[in-house]
Amino acid sequence: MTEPRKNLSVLLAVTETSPVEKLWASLVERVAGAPADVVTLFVCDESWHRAASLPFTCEISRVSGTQMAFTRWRAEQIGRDAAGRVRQRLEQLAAGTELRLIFEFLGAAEAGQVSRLVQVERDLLIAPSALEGQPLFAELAPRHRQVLLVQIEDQDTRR
Amino acid sequence: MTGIFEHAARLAVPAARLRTTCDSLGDGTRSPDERPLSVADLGQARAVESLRFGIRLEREGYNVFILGPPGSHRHALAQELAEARAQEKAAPDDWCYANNFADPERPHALRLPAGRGMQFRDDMRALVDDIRVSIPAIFEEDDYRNQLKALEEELENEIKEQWEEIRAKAAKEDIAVLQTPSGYVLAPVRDGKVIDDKDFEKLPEDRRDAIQATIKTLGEELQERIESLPKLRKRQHERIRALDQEVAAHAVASLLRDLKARYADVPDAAEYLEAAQQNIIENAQELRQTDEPVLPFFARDSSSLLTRYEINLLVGNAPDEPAPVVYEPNPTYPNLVGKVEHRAEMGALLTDFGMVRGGALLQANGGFLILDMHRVLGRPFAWEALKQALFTRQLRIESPADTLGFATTTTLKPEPIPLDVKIILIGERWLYYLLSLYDTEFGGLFKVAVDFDDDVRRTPDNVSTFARLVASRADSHELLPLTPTAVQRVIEQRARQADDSERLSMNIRSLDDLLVEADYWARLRQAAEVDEKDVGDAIAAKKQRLGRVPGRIMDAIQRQTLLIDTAGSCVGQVNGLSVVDLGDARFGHPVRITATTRIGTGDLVDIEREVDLGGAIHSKGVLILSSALSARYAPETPLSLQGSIVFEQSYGGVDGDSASVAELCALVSSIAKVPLRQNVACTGSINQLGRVQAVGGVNEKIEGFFDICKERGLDGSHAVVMPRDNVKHLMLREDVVEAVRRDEFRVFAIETIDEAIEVLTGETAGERDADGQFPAGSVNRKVEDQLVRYAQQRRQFAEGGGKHD
Repeated sequence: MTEPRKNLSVLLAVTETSPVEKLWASLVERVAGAPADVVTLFVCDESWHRAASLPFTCEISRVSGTQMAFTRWRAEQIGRDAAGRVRQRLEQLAAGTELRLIFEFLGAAEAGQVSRLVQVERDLLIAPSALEGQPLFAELAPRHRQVLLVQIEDQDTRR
Repeated sequence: MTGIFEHAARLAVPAARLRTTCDSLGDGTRSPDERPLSVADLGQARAVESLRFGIRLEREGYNVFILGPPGSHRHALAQELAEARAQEKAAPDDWCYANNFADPERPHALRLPAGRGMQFRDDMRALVDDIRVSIPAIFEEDDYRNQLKALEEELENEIKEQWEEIRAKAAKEDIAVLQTPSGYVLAPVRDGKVIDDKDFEKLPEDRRDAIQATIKTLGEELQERIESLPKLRKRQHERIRALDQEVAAHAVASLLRDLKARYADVPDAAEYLEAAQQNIIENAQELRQTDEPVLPFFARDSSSLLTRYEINLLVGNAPDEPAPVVYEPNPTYPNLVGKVEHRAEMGALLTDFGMVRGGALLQANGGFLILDMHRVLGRPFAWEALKQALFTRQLRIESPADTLGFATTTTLKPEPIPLDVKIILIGERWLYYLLSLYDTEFGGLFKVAVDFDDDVRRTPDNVSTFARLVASRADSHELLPLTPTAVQRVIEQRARQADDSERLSMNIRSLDDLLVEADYWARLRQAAEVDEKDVGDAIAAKKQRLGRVPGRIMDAIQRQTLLIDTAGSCVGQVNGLSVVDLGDARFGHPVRITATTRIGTGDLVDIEREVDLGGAIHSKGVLILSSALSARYAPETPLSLQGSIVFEQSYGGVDGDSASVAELCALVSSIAKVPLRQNVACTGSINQLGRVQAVGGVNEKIEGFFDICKERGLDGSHAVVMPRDNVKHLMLREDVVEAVRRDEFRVFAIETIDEAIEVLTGETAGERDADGQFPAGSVNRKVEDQLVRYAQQRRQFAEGGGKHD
């Protein structure tokens, strides 16, 4: 009797500045057409949240130059907007493939989320190289059989 | 003359006078090489001279109104004389509309010498084609690209420098410039990481204050830089624009050099070319766009922009052609003045100078415009627009809605065009007279009246010319030639058409109709010429075609539905004669007129008038005969008579005074109790002195009664009494003349009421003798005696309260 084949489990970590297409191309290459469950973890840039925690920071409009208080709510909104764009793009890329996407958003104060994610052992972690030195990476990496760090050049960085 | 009319033989009109035949055409044979004749050659000397005067006199207000009946060849003559005058005048200038670059809603009118308008339009089209290729091409050249690139790099570097400057300044102060999707956030950093609120609180207070102050200063500087970016971009845009214009100016100057030289002698064109050159240079950036429009119906590419340099030629004349002579058959406001068309684009109605269209006034500018007055008056706003154009001597092409202030969409106010046109209006007389009376501006604008005669005298010379005109008309209509007897028959018919044996109708339309129809009958019998019989057949066939109504009346009389006696005698009853005019169908028929009389107060009741069936002229006739009756029979006694007169079985309106002789005879018969002959019909009007006067339609009236009598059998007892003054009008049918010749029918011409009485009663009317008395037993004596009796009875009645019937 043959056991049913299990899907590959992958964690794809992205940040707001990550070149999604490049990360996705690495994922597709590594999976090589096999069916996979891909958990996409959007890691929010904590610089925004730190800046927003200060009472005197302002956001200066690129168009008009006008200043508005930079609040936690605004930082959260920026994060979620960025996550939404990344998610939309990934869904476009995943359309028509054997890859099943699950999307997770990791805000600045959501450490509990990480602990939930690391409870499960996965086959593969794909992350931009910029995450390598961060505590989050240190928590995630041991729970994966393989880790793939994608080198991000300056010109890849999209803001 | 024997029989019942023996006593009136002196009044009988001989057969030869009943129809003046045409027995000679003089030298009326037209030679084949003779020029075609027109109405100008015959009898319309006054009209022709007036028209020539109006056409040649080129002063303000000397426009022409041709008044006359339809079919009198007014259009052809106006066209002929206007064309003759036009040959002497040079072709007028061409007119174009061109874009007004300063104010596109007010297009410029350009005047160019005849023939050069079309050339200018074509030259500008060619120029536009050149621009379409040349302008984008010069922006593709390396020189231009290099200069443009240098400008762009200059701006880029400037912005980059500014950005780096502020970033470096911030970094120096341990401040990070974070980028959000819509802007920048300045935040303090330590060890490359943004400090959060907890770490910030741990900093010494002076450090915290310093950080905040630095961020505030940097924020203000960043804000200032951001605010200056549009100015930088604007400056950049202006630099690029200046570069574009510099490059374009060079190219456009070479494109326009030849054109400007070619039109240097035409001020309007030269001025326009100068403005166009400047505009092309100013819009070089837009003109370099060669991409297809995003949406096919939203064409805002360079192709659509380039149309602004094209020329809208409204009037183009050939230089070697004469001045224009234009006939506008449908003078609506747009056809007359012109119009501004619109195109629908994205739900809006748009227009430009290229959609201005000229009308007949512009086409005829410098020449002649012929219009039908009734059509001008029938088209809304056309008459007012025409007058305005003539008053101002300018043509303003705008929509009536715009003129009235009702326009709700984008429209234009094209520059007015100077107008120098001679208007020739053609209308009927009543229109001319009404306009003269009620339109105070009319007289000042149409100072030349050209009054066309309806007919001409039937002199030997005119007959001869008319014969040649007939031949000319047949020739121009490619009809078979007419034999001399056929032409004679035509001339007789023209006299009948004129209702006068001594005149010839100048209604050319009906002449042409007769010739065409006679030609039909001749061709039907495969003849090479139209002969007299063909003309007769054409006349008879037309009568037959139009014969339904007269046929019904004849039928009603023969079946005794309409009561007309043609035999015997009757007191107070006479056969009058009536004419019905139904356009082409004009016919006469007898009507029974009856009169009753009794004692009264001198009132004569016209029953037609009492029930509003009598017209004013008829009422006037009855009042005249009432007066004539009093003056004639009761000069010294009160007229103590109550009489009434009626047209029996007449259910439509009655007008005219041509029955007044018959009415007076009926009254006389009733008063004197003398019967009137029912085999005689009577027509004629009288004056207060009893003189019988001419009436209209005498031929139709006689023929109408003749036809009834003929149906019932002519036996020599039937006759018509008519005014002697009408004898010259007699152009009776051949069969009537023949019946008279055979003494089967008679026509009596009278001058006095007494003569009418004698024919109708067969008795002597009687003249007053030296004592003022009518002869005993005469009709007049009987009338007078009866009136005296009425007067006595009335006096007795008034004095004694007696009764009368």
